[in-house]
Amino acid sequence: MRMFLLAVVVMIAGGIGAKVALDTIQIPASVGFSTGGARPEPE
Amino acid sequence: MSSLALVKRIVLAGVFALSMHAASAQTLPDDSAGRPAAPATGLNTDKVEVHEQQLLGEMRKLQGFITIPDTRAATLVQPDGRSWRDYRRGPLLWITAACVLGMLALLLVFYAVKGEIKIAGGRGTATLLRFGAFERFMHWLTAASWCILAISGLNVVAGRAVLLPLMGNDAFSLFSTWAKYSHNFLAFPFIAGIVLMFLVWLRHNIPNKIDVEWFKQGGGFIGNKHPPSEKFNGGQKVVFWIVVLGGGALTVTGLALMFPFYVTDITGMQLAQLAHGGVALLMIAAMLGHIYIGSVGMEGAFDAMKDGRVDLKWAREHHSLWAAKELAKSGDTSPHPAE
Repeated sequence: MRMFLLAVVVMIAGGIGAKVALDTIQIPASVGFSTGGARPEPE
Repeated sequence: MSSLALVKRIVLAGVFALSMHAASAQTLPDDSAGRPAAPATGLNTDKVEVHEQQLLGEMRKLQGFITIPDTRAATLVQPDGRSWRDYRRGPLLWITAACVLGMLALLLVFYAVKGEIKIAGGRGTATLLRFGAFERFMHWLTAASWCILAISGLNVVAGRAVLLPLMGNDAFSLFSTWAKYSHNFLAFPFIAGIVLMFLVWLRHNIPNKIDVEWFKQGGGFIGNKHPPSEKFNGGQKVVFWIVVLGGGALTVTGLALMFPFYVTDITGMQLAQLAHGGVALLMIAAMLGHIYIGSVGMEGAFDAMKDGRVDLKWAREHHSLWAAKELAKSGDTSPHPAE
């Protein structure tokens, strides 16, 4: 299961890397979330 | 009250009413001075008979006039959003329950009837390398991120209905915040895993006549026959294409949702969300079946992803053409013994 553990480490690193990269190039990903009760966002 | 006082009150009320009417009449022409023109719907919105639903049905948006920089805030009501929200709050919850709980129930019944599919004669001592280290790595990268994406995605759809009553507001809020961050950023390792699997396993997953025969014989699940198969059998090829095509669809729609208004407008994002949720639910159902057969459903199957080596007897039963080819290729007639 060493490849599983390696994959989990790479997955976490990749996720953090994606966050840092998006912040660096200043394209913020949406962190707003709806759990079914939010009203539709106006356009 | 004297009659004079009564007359004075009536006159004052009349003057007030007239002044209000005049003021409202004066505001109408202002609409042409900088305000966005109302959509031409053919409706006379001054008529009191206009019903709300009729208005919402004929106008794509109800917009006003604002002076703040964010012009999107001028939209008061977006009628399509109501349909989208109603679908999310109602039918989508039932579809989610049908896909997830329905699939789990099916697998439970299948297991109760069929049990674990055993290796005929039990495990042997010889093994064969089925997946190399890199293949196992990319599989687990995709699988691990997929599990978190599926759980956090189900929370977006059904968390409010299912988890909120169990967890309470504070815990649910904390969980949902982290789930959303995970959903956003672990999408990238998932996409990487999909691309890698596509590149590495594509040549093994082109459908052919052997797969047709495999399906005709029920894939070995019906009865005790084991139809011949290459490295991936017909069922595994179906799983591969569900993952690749479904993962591709999730990637496109997910990126549109992750970066609001970069790719499409609010209507486009609502459609993207419906497609994203629908494809994800189908994939969740398919992956539950994949996880079942790769773990408790079949003896020896998990070894392929555990350390890469499978029991030779298992390989000959379930992937006879592949096993014969591998043995002939290596000239190894006495494969490695199991550890």
